[in-house]
Amino acid sequence: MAHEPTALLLLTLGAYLAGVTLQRWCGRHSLLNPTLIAIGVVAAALSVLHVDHARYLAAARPVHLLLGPAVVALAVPLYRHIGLVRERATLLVVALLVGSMTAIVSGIAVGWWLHLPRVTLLSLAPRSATTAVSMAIATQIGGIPAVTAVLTILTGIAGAVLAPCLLNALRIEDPAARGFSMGLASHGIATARAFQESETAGAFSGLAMALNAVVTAILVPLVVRLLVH
Amino acid sequence: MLYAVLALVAAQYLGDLIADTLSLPMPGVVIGLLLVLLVLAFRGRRLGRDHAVPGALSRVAKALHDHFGLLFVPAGAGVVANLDRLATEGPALIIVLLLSTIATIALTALIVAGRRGAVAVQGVATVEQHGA
Repeated sequence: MAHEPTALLLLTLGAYLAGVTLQRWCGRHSLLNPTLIAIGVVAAALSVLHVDHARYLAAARPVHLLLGPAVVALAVPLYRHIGLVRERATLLVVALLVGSMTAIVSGIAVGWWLHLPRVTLLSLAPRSATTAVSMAIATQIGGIPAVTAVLTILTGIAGAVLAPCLLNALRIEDPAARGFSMGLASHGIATARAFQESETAGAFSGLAMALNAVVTAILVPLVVRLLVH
Repeated sequence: MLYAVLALVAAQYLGDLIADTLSLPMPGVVIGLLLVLLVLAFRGRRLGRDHAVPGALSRVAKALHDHFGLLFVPAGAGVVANLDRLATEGPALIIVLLLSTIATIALTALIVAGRRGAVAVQGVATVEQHGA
């Protein structure tokens, strides 16, 4: 079908727009995450219409390609908040190291406690870093990159959906703390949610996502050498 | 607008190039982000903070970030095809992801908010409530 790629692109945009509208109707509740809704709608449609995933990815490539420039463009909100970042530099560095370590070690520890096999623990370890980085780390330490990709996206969705409720329960209103914790634990998908809260939260989320990509790449091989035999 | 898009793509390309050449442990986009940040800091020094970000770049960045969530839909839908790889370990992995993500977010946010003692204080408060 010659018009299939356009139809699949339309499906992607339409599903996301439906998610955004639904969320707006329900008072912007974080449980109705537009990315999650769109992924569900697209996956269901592909399965009903028997569209092969490789064909879908080829059709949706224009949307996927914007991800790179969008991450680079995080420099803009970050520059606007650079004063606030400098003011908190020490706390942010501590939070970055403790948070990154918590993500790696708690994932391995809970997985080990639930008797997950070694290769799954290795695939779990880098999942808080953004997808491209987490997959590269998984390859390096002997995990399965395709499994890491799934776990990374699920971690992103879990953070985007749960973080607002969790942070409200902890009575953390500070947009810097909200954004930084979301981007550190759950990379870009949670950063998208942070931008819904405020530009400040989005800027700090993007900062944490960029920093944790680097720190995770350094820490995971060290932690794995110590913990996973 | 086109200049801004070109600048972002060029920064990403340069970042990829630098990451590949020096085999750095960070993705090209992160280096691209740092390059743009450097240019903005340089412009800020010359033109003043308020004029550092060109209007077009500001608009493009806002448009991309307003719909940041859309850009993850193709990758996310692609992941659904691989969900069966988790089949037998699925339930255990969901527990791992939930517990670990909650712990990471809570701890990180408490540190940034400057509430280092917050966890301990809440623990004591709970014990006191139960005691009373």
